[in-house]
Order: sequence, then structure tokens, then C-alpha cells
Amino acid sequence: MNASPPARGRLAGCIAPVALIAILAALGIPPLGIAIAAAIGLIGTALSARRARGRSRLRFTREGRYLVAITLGIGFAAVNTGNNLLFLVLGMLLSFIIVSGVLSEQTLRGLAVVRDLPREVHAGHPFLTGITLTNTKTRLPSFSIQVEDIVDGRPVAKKCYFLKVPAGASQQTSYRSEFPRRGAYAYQGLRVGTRFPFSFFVKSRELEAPGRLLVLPKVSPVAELPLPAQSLVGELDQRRRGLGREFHGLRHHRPGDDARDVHWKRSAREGRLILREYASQGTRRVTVVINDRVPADLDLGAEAVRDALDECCDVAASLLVHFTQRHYGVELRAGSQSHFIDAEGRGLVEALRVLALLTFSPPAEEAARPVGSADSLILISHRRARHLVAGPFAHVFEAGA
Amino acid sequence: MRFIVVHKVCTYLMVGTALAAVLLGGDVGPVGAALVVLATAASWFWEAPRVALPRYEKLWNIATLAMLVRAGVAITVDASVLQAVSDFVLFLTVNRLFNRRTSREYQQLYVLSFLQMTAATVLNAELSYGLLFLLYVVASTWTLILFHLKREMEENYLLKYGESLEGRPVRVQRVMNSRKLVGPRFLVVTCLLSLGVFAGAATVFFLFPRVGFGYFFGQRRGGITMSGFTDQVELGHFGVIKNDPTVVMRVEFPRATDREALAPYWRALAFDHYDGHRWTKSRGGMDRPIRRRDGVYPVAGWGDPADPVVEQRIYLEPMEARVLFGLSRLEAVALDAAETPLSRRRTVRQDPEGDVVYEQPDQVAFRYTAYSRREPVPAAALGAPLAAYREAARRQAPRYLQLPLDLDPRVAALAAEIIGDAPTVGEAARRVERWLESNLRYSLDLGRDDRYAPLEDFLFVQRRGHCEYFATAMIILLRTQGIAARNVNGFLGGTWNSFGGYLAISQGEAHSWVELWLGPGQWVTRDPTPGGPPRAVETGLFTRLREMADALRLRWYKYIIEYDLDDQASAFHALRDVWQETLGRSGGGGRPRTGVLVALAVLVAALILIPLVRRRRAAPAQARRLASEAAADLLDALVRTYRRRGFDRRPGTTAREYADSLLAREAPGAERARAIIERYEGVRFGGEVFAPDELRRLRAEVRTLGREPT
Repeated sequence: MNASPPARGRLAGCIAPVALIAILAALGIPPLGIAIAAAIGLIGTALSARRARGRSRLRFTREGRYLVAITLGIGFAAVNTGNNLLFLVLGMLLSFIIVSGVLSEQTLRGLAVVRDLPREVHAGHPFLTGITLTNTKTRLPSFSIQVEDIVDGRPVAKKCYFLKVPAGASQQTSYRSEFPRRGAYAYQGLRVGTRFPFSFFVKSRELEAPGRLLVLPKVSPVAELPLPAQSLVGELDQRRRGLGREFHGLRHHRPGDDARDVHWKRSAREGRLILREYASQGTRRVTVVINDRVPADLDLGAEAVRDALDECCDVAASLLVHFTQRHYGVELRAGSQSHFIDAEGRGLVEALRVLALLTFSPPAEEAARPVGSADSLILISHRRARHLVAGPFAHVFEAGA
Repeated sequence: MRFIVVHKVCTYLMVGTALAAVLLGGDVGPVGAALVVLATAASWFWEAPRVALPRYEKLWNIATLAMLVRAGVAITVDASVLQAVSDFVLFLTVNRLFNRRTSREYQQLYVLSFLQMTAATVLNAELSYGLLFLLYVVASTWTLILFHLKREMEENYLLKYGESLEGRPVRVQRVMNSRKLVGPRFLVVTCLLSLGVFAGAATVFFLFPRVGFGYFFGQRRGGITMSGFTDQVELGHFGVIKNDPTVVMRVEFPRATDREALAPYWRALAFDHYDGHRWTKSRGGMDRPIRRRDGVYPVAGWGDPADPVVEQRIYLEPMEARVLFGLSRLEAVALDAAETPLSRRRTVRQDPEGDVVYEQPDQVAFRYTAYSRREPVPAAALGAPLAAYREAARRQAPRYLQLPLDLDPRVAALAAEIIGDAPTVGEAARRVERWLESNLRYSLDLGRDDRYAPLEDFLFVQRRGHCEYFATAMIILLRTQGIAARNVNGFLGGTWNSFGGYLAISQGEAHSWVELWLGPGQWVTRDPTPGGPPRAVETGLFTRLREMADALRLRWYKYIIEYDLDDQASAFHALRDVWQETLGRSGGGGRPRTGVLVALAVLVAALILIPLVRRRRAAPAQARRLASEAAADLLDALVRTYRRRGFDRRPGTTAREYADSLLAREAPGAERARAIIERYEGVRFGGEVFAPDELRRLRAEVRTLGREPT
């Protein structure tokens, strides 16, 4: 936002009209010609400066459209009637338009915006994005500024509004948003706009502020999942209980943690949720296999296929979190990749990142791929891709039609 | 003051200004104007929650419908579209003032006020419009900015998110009641802004080419009705207006010496027929158009090079009698206004008595130039033997010998006695003039005895009166003796306005005098009215203020109301002359003054370069400040990263100490953390700035430190 035009270019842009005026005056060109030359020079300078500042967009508001229509009407009436006072009114309307343009430009000038994104978020969970607006002008405050984020080429639904940012000051605010699907989202830039001073026009400028946010799969309590394997999971869970409920330590709360394990006193003291961890008497293992292959006849771009993949990843993520919280050693197998999460939960975030970016791919051959043997194998697959993976699964979850 | 109160005050100022502009136009009667003002004042207090506005909604709807019907009827019956629409808009404004709740209703108020300012351009062409326009620009700038902020706050301040994800509703009302939002500084700055708007309006006004077509509405101002300047004049009415200071005519003399060149008789209308009570024109309606020649309308004897012409630029207030005044003897007039379809419909006509009248469709102040010459002294005609003159007059000018049917015979006897054996017509007129001056007294305090006709009452009973009586008496006395004469009404004198450099002629200077017939087309002016009590020369502050206000009015008419294509061309020519003079080319062949050119170029260059240099100087300081803030954020991020991994920063430790502690505790990536902290110190305290992309790289490094294996 602070990008200034190269000083040399601007200097040349200013000197050229001055020199032109001097030459015209020396040649004895009448004042009207010089005035025109000066106007052209000034407009050229303004345009070059504007080009250097970045793309600006000017859009009429409803009031602005009315104003332009009224101005044209008054102009016609003034010319038609020769009523001089109407020319005065016409002048006032035109001045309002000019002042509006100048002030909105002045408001947007010298603004710097910084976006503060969380590192990772889960799909379907709202999160806050911090926006810091700095007015780098030395004297003039900026009024009534709206900042909106542009993600994947589209502005997000929520805007941040700053009523007044004094000269040289910064202000912070945040907006709440959520992404319904997992994946990597690209933040292209920030659109800073204003309707100041009269709401006749919206002038906005897009600032380059590339960013990337990884949205991890949705994590739900296992009880809420459409898992027929609940009996198994419950069984595994039951087996763990009674073996180890000794206090092991404290750690920060993660999405999907059991609220019953929250250490409320410590949480109150630290101002954030802290969880109790219990020592386990021995490490049990479970392997979650996610089948990333689908038959060649499935359209990978279809919404239903994408939904099915998302569902698979959500279930896998929920299982990973569920077992990790219970101090299982968990292995995630996604296609050819394999990730281990130890009983302390190390490796969980990396495994979730893999799930966030996982895509289906058609197999080179339609033969079933063996996954080998492991403890408590759980398969998660597209319904129509079940035949592409073989193994002694303790349970199978199928998504898609 | 609270934001919401400032907004309300500004809204009322804007709406009130527009209302005043319409009401001062005078088309709304005093009762209507008083009602509007009272309703506006009452509406200030009529607002929620004090009043349950929806309860009265139906009532307002019915009233609006009624006013709409009234406007429709008025347009159908009176055909005064503008007036009817203006009345309806006034009502709508009052309606909205009483029902202002939402932003939409405030917006409607602003649109209505703008409509009123537009309508007032036709209804009120007075100076008051100019002053109110200036106020309107200021008030509307304030109001529109405040309205914008109010609406933005209402639309955007709905939820505020804090540390938690839960938003809580913002109490917009609390923000609106804030006293910190808008202070005197804000109002002063926006007022300066409105001066910019006004300057822009003035620029457009002066530069926009005036090529009016003149269809539909023109401007208009209510005409002044003055007794003495209508088709018939009742004797005695001048006394009523003798003390009226309303200026009706302003005269500029392009040549200063012309001011004293002629006697200040501003001739307007002449009457030939007297019925004992009133003067009329026996050949009224027989005027003929004057054809324009060489840009002027010749009236009498134009082109006679005997005497120098006295030029007068006259600005005439609109009068019901559309007569063109000029110093006696008026020889030609020229209409100054540019040729537009509107002005082409103007015509200049002359009636049999020599009066010059004009016709034009609009009613703004009328501007023209009058050319007059000294009245020739017809010594030979005045020295003609009375008997021969009587015979010629009887044959050639019988209508100037007309007498009232019931004229008291004592009048003729008195005339015969006064004139006696005067040998010439000049001598006879002189004797009557002298008798009137020495035997009757000037007075505005008339004690009329209704048993007598006005003239007999004046001559034989009251023996006092004002100019109309003296002029009438002289004419009738002369006519009884066969000497032809007519009555002339106009103005005598005027007050010099030193502020504006013009002669201001007020209604109080209305005068009546005599024109003596000396032959076909040959008249001589006689004024039998003795000087009244000397008028006190007013020099008080009030008089000076009045003169200043009047000079301002003249400028308003001259430069704003009557500004046209000719004026634009003159302004550009003047600009060109100044330019050429500046360059030393007034003679046409000289070389430009190099010094002037250099000074001009240096000035323009300085105007452009100084802000540039200042901005360039300010840029490094700004960059340093921003970099310093970014460095602080970077350190925060680093501390947060290590805190997550169990390496907290103890309160009170410096950044360097923290870096050392990380090394001592063998924190993962402690060496890189130390390097980042050293860079932080250099930027934060050493006045350094980050290289391009350096900050981005350092932030990424901090993120990787969080993932560094232990």
C-alpha cells in the first residue's frame, strides 16, 4: 500500500509541464493555450502518480447515480434557461463530485494493511482474522475505511470497518469467518475501500497481500460420526479404561479434545484452555487407512466425489484425534504415504495436514492394492473404490454413492 | 457536542437555509411562511422516543394526499406550476422533519432541501439567495459528511469480535452519543472544505459558456409597483412614496465627468390628458417599435454631433411599468444583454409622448445603456410672439391644450392675471413659474379639502403641495392661456454611492415636472416646484451600511444575475490584456520580459517541487517507524513460538537476555533466534530498516523455529 512512484519519474512528470509552460510563454502563446497545456501536464502527472499507486476502482453508489443524473438535469436546465443561479447550483454539484474524488483518494493514500491469519484452522470452525490498518500520512487522518479480504479471487463476506485512523496511527480489528471445506486457501490481497466523504462513490484499491491458510479436516467427536465401527472403537476405548488414569501432565486444548479433561483452574489462570493428560500403561496401536484411489470412471471434479473425499478425510481426522487423545499409537496410511502419531500426540498436526491436502486419483491399474497387516486396521474409502484396496480390516467406513 | 446532536443541528441548518431561500422569494405569503417556520421549529422536539411517530403516520398520509390534490388544482386553475410544486415541496419538507427516523428519511430531507434551493433560483433572485447559497454549501458539506459517518456506523458497527470467537453487539447508540467523534476542529476543517466546494462552484459559474436557449422557465423577481409610473396617475400619490428609500435604479457613468454634465432629470413617462383628478395618455397604446440601428435604439435626434453624448449604464429594478429611464434629453438606448433566444424576445418601443418602454418575458433586473445630450436651448422658439405661438399650438398641438371640463373659471382668470401682457411664450412660462414658486409653498403634508377639485384646492385653499401639484398647476395655467404643455414623471437627483461608484435613485426621488411645447417635436423642460426643506445629508453608520449593502446588491445583479456571454468574453479579453501587459507586449511588438517569465517559471516549479521534497524527506522517517513496529511484531511472534515449546520469557528480561537464555537452555534453533533478535535490535533501536523481502523471510524463519526438532 505504501508503494510510492519512483521519485525520478514523478520529478520528470512535474518538470516537463513547467518547462512546457515556460516555453509556451516565451513563444508568446496566449494564456488560454498555456492553461490548456498546464491542465494536460497536471492531469498527466496525476495519472502517472495514480498508476504508480496501484489500481483504483471507482464505483457509483445509488446516491452517486442519482447525483450524476441530477447534475446532468441541472446542467440542461441551466443551459436551457440561461438562469445564472442554476449555473451556481450546477457548479456546486460538480464541486461535490470533484471534492468527493479528491477526499476519497486522500483517505486511501498512505494506508498500510497487515493481515494476521491463524496458522491452521479446521473446516466448519469459525476463526478470527486480524486486520491492522496503519495510516502512514503525517498530518491527515483517514475516515470511514472498509477492508475486505480476497480469497480465491472472491471477497469474503465480512468486512472490517475503521471509522477514523489518525495520522501516523494504527488500529486493529478482526473479522470472523469459516471455511466449510478442508484444503489450502489462497489469500490474494486486501481490498481497501471508502465511501467517504459523501457516499456518492466507492473508491477502492486492491493491495497485494498474498497469504495461504491450510484448513484442516473437520474434527468431530466419534460419537457423532456415522461410524458403524463405534462398537469396535468403543471396545478399544473400554479396554484402555481402567488401565491408566494416572496424571501425566498438562497441555493446550486441541479441537476435538474431551471437555471433561479440561483443567479449569489452570485454564482460568492462563486465560486459555489447558487439558489434563493421563499416563498410559502401555501403547496400543491402531492403523487408519484412507484409500486415495477411485475408479477411472468417477469424475473427480464432481461435487459428490469431492464431498465423499471430504467426508472420508473428516472421519479419518476425527479418528486420529480420538485415538491420540486416548494415547494410542496411530498410523495413518494415505495412499503411498504413511504417518505415525505417538502416544503423546506428536505427529498429529502433520497427519492432519496430509488429510487437508489429500486428493483422489484414478489408479493406473484396477487391481486391489494390499495394505499389509497391522493392529486394528480401519479402512476409509469411497464406496465405489472399496475393491481397490485389500487387507484384513477390522472395520471399513465407506463414503459416497 | 454529541455526534448525534451535531448531525441534527447541521441537518436543520441545511434544511432551514433552503427553506429561507424559498420563503425570502416572497411567493409564499406571510401566513404560509410563518406556518412553515413554526412547524420547522416544533419538529425539532417532535422525535422518538418522546413521540410515538407511527401513531400519526395515517394523519400525515392524509395531509400529504390533500396537499397533492391542492397542488393539482392550483396547477389546473392558476397554471402556476412552479408555485404549486414549490408549495408541495415545502409541505413535504415539513412532513419529513416531523417524521425523521431512519437514514432514508434523512436522505429524503436532503433531497427536498436541494429541490428548494433549485426552485429558489427562479423564485428568489435577490442577494439573499447568494448569501444563503454560501451557507447552504457549508451546511450541506457538514451534513452530508456527518450523515455518511452515521450511516456507516449503523451499517458496520453491528458486532465486535474480541479475543474469543463470540461477537458481541456494539451499542451503536453509545457511539452516536460520543462527544469525541466530532469536535470543533472537524467542523472548521470541513468548513474549509466547503469553501473549496464554493470556489469550484464559482469557477464553473464563471467559465461555463452562457449559450442559453431560454425555453421553459426564466428567472423572475417581483416587480415594484410605484404610483406615478403607471398608465394613469392620480394627483397626490407622490407624497406617499417621497420617504421611501427603496432603490429602484442604479446608474454608472463610464466617464466620471458625465456625472455632473446634465441636470439630473430622469425622464420616464409623459401625460397629455388631465381630467381634473388624474393624468392619462390620450393616445395610450399607440406606441411603435423602434428599429435597432448600429446596436442602439435611436429615440430622438440620434446622430446629431453637436454636443457630446452622456453615457449612462443603468441597472433597473423590475417595475410593473416597463419604462426606460434616461437623463433628459434621452436620444438612444442600447440593451447590454447578450443575444439569446430569451433576449431576442425583448423589444423597445416608443409612444407618442416620447416615452421609451421595453418588453421582455422575464423579470430580472434590467440592464441597459442610455445616451443623452444636453437639451438645446431653443432661444428663437421661446422668443416667439405669444399670439403667433397660440395660433400654431391650436393647430399643431391641440391635445396639449386640453383642459378639464369642470375647471374652475378662477384658474383661467388667475393665469391671465399672472401672464398679463407677456410678449413671448418664454416670458409667459417664466412668469407662471415664478408666481408658483413665490406664492405657493412646497409640502408633503397635504391638507386636502374634498369639496374642491385637487388643483383648485391647491391654488386657492391649501396653497401648498408637492411636485405633482406644482407641475399640474403650471400646465393648466399655461393651457388656459393657449400655451401647450404636458406633464412628465420621473426621478430627480439621486444619491452617490461611494462604495459602488454609482448613483442610486430611490423611490423617494420620484418627481414631476413640465415640458413646454415649442413646435413639432420641440420641447423644453420647466420645473416650477420650489425647493423643499433641505434634505439632511445622512452620514450615520446605518446609512453607510445601507450604502454598502446596496453596492453589494448591484454587484450581485451585475456579476451574477446578469452575467452573460458578453461578460465572459470581456473577462477573457481582460485576462489576455493583463497577460500581454505582464509580458511587456502592450505595444504589440515588444519582446517578453525575461524576468517575468523566469519568476513565473520559478514560482510554478516551487509550487510543485516543495511538497515533493518535503514528502521525500518525510519518507525515510515513515519507513523507519513502520520498520520499528514490524520488528516489535517479529519479536512477539518469536517469543510466542518459543513459549509454545516451553521456553517462556521471564518478565523484565531484555530481548538480548532472552536470546542468551535460549542458548543456555539449548532451545532448538537458539542460534538462529539470536540472529533474529540482533536484527530486531538493529531495526528497533539502531534506525535501520528491513531490506526488501527481509521481513517476510524472517517471519517465515520464526515459523520454522516452531517446528525445529528438539
